[in-house]
Amino acid sequence: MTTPEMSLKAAQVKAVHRMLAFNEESSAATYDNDFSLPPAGSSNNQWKILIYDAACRSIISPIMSVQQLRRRGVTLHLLLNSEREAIPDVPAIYFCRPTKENLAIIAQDCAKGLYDRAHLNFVTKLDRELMEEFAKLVVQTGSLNKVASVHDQYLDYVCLEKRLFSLHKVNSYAIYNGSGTTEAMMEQAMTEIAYGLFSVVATLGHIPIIRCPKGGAPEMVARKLNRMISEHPTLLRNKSSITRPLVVILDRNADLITPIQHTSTYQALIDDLLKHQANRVEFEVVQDPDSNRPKKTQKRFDLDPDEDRFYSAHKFQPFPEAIESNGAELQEVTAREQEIRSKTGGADPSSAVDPLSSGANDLANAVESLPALLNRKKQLEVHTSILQAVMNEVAARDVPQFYELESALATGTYKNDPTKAKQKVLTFVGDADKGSVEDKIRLIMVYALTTAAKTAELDEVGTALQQACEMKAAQDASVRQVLSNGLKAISYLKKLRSMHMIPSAADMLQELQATPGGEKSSSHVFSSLMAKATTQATDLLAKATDKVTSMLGKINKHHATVVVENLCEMKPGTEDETYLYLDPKVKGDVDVIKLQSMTRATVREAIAFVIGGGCYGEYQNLQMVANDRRQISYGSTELLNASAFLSQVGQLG
Amino acid sequence: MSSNRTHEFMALAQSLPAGSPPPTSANGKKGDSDAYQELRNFHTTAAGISRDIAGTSALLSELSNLVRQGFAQPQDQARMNQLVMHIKSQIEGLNGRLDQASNTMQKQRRKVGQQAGEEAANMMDGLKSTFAEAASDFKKVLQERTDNMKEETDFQKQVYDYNNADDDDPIPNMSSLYAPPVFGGANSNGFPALDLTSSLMSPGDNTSSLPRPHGISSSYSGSDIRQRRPLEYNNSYGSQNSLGGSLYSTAQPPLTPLDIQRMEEERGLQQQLIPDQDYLQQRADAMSQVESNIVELGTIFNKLAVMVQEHREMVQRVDDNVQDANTNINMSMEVLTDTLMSLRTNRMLAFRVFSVLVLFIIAFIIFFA
Repeated sequence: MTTPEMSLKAAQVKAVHRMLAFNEESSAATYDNDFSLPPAGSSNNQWKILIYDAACRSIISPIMSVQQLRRRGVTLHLLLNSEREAIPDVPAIYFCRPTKENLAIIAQDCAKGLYDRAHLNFVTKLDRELMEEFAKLVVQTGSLNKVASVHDQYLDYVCLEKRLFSLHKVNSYAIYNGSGTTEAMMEQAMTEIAYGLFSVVATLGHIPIIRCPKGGAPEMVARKLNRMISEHPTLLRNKSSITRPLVVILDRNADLITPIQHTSTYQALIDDLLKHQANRVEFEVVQDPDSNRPKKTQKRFDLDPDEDRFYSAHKFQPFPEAIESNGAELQEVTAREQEIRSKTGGADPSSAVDPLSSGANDLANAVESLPALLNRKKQLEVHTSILQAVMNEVAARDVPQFYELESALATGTYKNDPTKAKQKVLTFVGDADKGSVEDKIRLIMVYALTTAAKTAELDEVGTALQQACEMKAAQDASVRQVLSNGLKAISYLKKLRSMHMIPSAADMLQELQATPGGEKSSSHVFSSLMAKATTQATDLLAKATDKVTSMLGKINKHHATVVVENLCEMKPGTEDETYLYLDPKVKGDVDVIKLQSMTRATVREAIAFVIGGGCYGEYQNLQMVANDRRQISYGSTELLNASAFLSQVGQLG
Repeated sequence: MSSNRTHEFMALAQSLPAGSPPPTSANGKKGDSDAYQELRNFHTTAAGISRDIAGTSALLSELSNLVRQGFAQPQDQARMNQLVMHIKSQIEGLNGRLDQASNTMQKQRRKVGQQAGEEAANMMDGLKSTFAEAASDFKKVLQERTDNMKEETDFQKQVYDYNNADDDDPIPNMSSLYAPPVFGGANSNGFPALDLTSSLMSPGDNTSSLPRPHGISSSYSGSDIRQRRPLEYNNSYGSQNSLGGSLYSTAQPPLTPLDIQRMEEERGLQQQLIPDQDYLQQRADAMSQVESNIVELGTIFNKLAVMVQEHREMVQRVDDNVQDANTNINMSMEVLTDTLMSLRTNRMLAFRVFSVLVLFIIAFIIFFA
């Protein structure tokens, strides 16, 4: 049924479609695309109403558009908590979390007889006690006949892209690492995470192999997950899968640098610098900056990372390359458009033309392709404006320089020269023009994490920061808050270091293995970039060359990437030996040393999960070790950008 | 992969003591009120329409399979004609029913609750868009069929008959008589046009192409026929088109048409021509039928296109409503602040607005006093 190559998103979409078809097995005939569906309203595709709660709305929203819902016969979609009126005769599909409040509302609906029959779908397992309570409520009001079916859907994760998912747990890092969290709360939180991972595994339909470091949250979650899978009857009865996915569970504390660091790739930059939530980007554009009242318009775009041709091809590329590709494609599309327009003589494409000449067919094809071409142009222009907005931020905050310094610190360039490192950091921090307060705090934190700087030095840098931001802090309350938060974050780091909870800087990052064309390609792109900038007078490109060329440097592998790579390739002497190996089909732990002597199946699919908050930068970095034979999906308890992560860390300080 | 807990739930519910008799009778009364009854009727009608659209689609797919086969046997031809008529009547019927249902829905919408009304409206939209798709598929299939038939006719002409002026008459006459179909059929227009232009353009080819033995086709086999036809055309109907006539007469030996006639007589093709004539007549009839269908349905297609455009879904994302409302409010706030700013800075404007307000107050006082 599910091939190893089916992505998480496709599997989730399929599950949702089946749910919308009332979970009937007969309609398991999968329709390849929306067009082969029977028309809505016919026997195989009845009309229905979809009712969800807020959490499930965020699950459905990225994978199905309203148009697609309509095709599946959903005439109305409503929020569970809203006021709902009676629409008799129409079946209702409920899709929500199995909480007491939700169940009470559903029971009320059945009692009031709002809809014809209710098909209940819970996003995760419905506890036995809750089911009993619900049954009591329903039987008391005598509306048992209104309940048509009850299903547990195990879809408790939000899939934003084909290989990116999140469990949408709020404030996860602060909760898991805070001192105020009790044992019971931790237990509860870990169970929820395990359920989320179980949903992912269940949707994919293959029993995985679980690997995690010893001790701490990952081991807890891994063992829970192991138990859940082995106890679940249907999943185990599944045919033995040829390739089993590898689930790697990691802790955020193993690598604190990645979420804080400045990034250089397109998608990660969008997430970092602009308002980016659930594939929607918002930013302000100033129109007519020279007039008396420059109008600021709020622009909002929905990005589709899988269907958008330009975005899916370039989202992992470094920023200057993305700009360049955008410019090149836009030129090509405009040229083609001009060509077509000139062929048709400009005004009327349907005017009489000589039908005998072979140009007639070409002309017809050209005219037909014109709308598609214009569509593509519109898409490219959306990206041009997004690139422009990112460029403005990058230029204003001097992001490339921060990026360069942080990469240098992280890769250990200053390992032997700590004073020089401190000097550089001080110059950056002290300079009031460079970057926002947050950028400086991030730099300091990276500095603290990557070098063995003494506490005194950190204090020195901290005071320098306070002095530099004094003026700004006095004027702007938000700046003050960010500043205080940042200082708290730094003190938290100090605490961690004193407790030796941060691994030594040596394992943090590794230099990218020098690929044969690596050096050449980056300098080649650089020179071509310069050439293009001088020949064209595009603002964007010109700005890019002087500010952003430093971003073309090598991209280093982050900790998570290294771990996943070692596990997938089963390299001896690395995490492969130290990590736990749990197999739900086998009782008890598996001894990896013994396993190493046997030949193991190659890993075709890996799912990396980070407890405590993931980021787009890590996601992009992981894709570097993905290739044709190996797919890597990435998920986390929540997807954060640097400022969100900083505020959580600040809470702990 | 989901787990079905229905049995578990039902078992649990059965085991519990039965509750009070269902108070649904009270709700039932509300549900049976007139408006809701009408809504129920509307749902049933809509379901009926949807089933019929599905039926039409099935017929349509059968038709398109037949058409795609290319050269078809006579019984297939008959079947195709039958299907076309059937589908056409169904589409017209459905169109009427959809209009009716839409009107009833609009009337009912005001009586029932807002959500129920929205649900009905969305259902209507869904039906209309499926219907529009079915209709446009039908249009495409008809076009394909017309193309196929033209190709076939050319081929038949070239193989069986290259000197029969009578056969030529139905087709060029019909095509020139009909107004061009609504959606711009360059094909049906081009048919007679092709003849004249090709002949006018390349008179030089005539000499080489005319005395061609039966059955051998050149790369311009189609144009051969067309070139020769206007020749016959001009000769038999007098030299109305003097230009063409003169071109022909100068470009070739004057006896060639007679030669051909002689050749044909020798081969006794005359006997074969009569059944072919019937056959071609049939084809001509069928094609004219198809074209008339297209013209009649043209109005429906246009209306549908307009309809579907109107009801394009405004909101694309499931969680969009809040955002839109927010944007609207922000925009209106902006306009108001702008006005305020301009009022503050611009004394004349403030004076004018104030004077208009005062005028209105005075007018109202006088009116109501």
